[in-house]
Amino acid sequence: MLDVRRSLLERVQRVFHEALDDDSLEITKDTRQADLQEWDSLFQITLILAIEKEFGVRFGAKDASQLVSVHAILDLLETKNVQP
Amino acid sequence: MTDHSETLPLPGTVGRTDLLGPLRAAADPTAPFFSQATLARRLKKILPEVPNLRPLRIAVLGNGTLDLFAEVLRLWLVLEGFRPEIYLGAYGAFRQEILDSQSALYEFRPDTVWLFATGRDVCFPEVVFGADASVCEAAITTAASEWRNWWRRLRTERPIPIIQNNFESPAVRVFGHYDAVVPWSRTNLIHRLNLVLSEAVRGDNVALFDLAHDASTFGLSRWHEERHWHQSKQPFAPDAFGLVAFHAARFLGAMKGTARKCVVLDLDNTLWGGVIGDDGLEGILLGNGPEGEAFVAFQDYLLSLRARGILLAICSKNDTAIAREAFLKHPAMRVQLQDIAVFCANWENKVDNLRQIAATLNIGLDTLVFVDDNPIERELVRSALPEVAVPEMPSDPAEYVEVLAAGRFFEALSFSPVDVARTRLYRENAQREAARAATTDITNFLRDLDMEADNGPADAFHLPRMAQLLARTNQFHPTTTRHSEAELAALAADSRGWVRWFSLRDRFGDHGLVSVVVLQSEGNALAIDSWVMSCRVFSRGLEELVFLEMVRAARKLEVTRLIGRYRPTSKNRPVADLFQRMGFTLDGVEEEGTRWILDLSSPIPDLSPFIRWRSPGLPT
Repeated sequence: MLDVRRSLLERVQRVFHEALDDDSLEITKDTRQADLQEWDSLFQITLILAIEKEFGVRFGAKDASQLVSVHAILDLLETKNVQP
Repeated sequence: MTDHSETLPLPGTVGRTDLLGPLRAAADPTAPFFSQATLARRLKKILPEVPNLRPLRIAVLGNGTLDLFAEVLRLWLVLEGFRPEIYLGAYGAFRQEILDSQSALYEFRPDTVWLFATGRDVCFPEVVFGADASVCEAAITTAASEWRNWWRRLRTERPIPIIQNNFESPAVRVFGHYDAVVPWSRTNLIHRLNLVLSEAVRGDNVALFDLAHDASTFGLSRWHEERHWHQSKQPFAPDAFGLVAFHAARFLGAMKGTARKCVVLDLDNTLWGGVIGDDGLEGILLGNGPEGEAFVAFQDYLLSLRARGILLAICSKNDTAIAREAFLKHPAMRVQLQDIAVFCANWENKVDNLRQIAATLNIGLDTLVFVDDNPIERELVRSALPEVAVPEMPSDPAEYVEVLAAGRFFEALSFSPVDVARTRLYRENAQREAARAATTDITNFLRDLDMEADNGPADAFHLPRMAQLLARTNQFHPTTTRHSEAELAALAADSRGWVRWFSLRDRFGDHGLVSVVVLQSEGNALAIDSWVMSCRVFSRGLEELVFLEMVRAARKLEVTRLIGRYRPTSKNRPVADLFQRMGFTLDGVEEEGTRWILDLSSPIPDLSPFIRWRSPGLPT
């Protein structure tokens, strides 16, 4: 995995851990919404706001609806040229 | 006089450990949504173990997705000492739920309903650009009436307190500055609707939540970010949830009687710049120059608090005479000695002084706000007296007003002439206490007070003060009811019951209205629904006098028994033995407390020889 993507993943993992207040959760590049019990539609909103805050980006409505896996989050962050 | 400072368990504490301490320290109303949500999650995990929280059943009705707001609201309600059950209702259906008496809303049995409206819920379809003034007025009246109808419908099903939001200003100005000029702009329609609403809530006894002010404070353009509505139907920007939830928690706290009552102030670098013991009267910064002006502004703010009924006290490490000199002689000093209810300037530690101040005023430590520029003093008080609110003060005195005001310690739901007089009343009481201390014989003391009482029915003139007394009293209140003016008026209209106010004056001054009794018909008996008395007049014989009037009223209504109920709370322990003292016998234990009975067929002794009536006893 590219260094950039790996360091983005680390930051995304931290966002999940802080948002769910649980450092023990396993968040990998393959984690999807269905894999995590806490990842319901309400958490989705919290997650989007947290990712926006962490990386200083804004997601439009279309983007936001696609963020249903860690993979999708990383892809979208890369298209926004986020600095790792 | 009983010292109430030690007896109140702080919400959330087990022994001296405040389980909510870490959350309280981390919580910041202005922190973005993400932090609020994290803390809310953390709270959810520990909440089952947190003791001494007051239950609150609140229905929050509005459009949009309120679930995330509710999470943040729960956090701030718990920090305020509540254990909240929050009902949100089906999405987009709050109007149907209000109309349907079988709806889940009513099944939830809320004790408070919050009509969580926002600007999105208000439109003026008849008002086109350039519309006539009369069209505008009609549209505003219609909009206000809609909400009034919801209050009335709710009240017929369930007569409970209602909170109504007013409406935030639009962020977008279609004409630019011209929006502010014309009556038909949405900007002006909303402003005038808010004014109409503020009158309407007073008429219907609904509590108004100033959402418009919160939106302005947060910043209208951030508040209105449209994407939050389009993406997930958030009522407004989630980063504002903390601020609104914090204000709501303080607001509800005030409704349930826990707003603070007294600011205790340090002197050096708090009321003026510098240290008067070192710099002398001429050397302290007050009046001229940027710092001097900042302190004057802070004193002016304190005076406005005092004018609305908040007590001011001084707690300073200083020589008493030197400290008082500033008040007596400094030309720029705004706060005067007569504005201070208790003046404590000595070299004792501040923790003991705060306890003494609370005891002197006969108010709980949990009604105090301690303001001191010194972080060490602040931390000492925080750890020794966690009930006292100790705001973190900024280093720049120009920010003192803002920080103290932002703490929202003194939310009010009413204002009456008694509030204006409160400091004077407490100072007069201090004189009484001094006289009592000088007298060795309590009988002589009571006789010398030359006390005179008065009483009357719940007329329009007295209703506001009666409701205010019910709302604020925690100690002498066996049932802790919180009837609004409207509810009291309804109770008074029942001819089988009896609602009465009592006032007391003595040779030092007039205490004003200090006691309220509500008797309600219960079978062939009268139940004491409410019996409150101001802590200022404890142990003078007024309880006994009021009790005798209750007995007279009951006999006149041809009732054979009086029923008293005691529902224990953390604050009303002083009246645990009230009914026993008045001669009642314990009749049974109920879910919320004890029930006491007095048989009126036997004679009742006159236990109050020192207070005479101003007017001859009871009319009808």
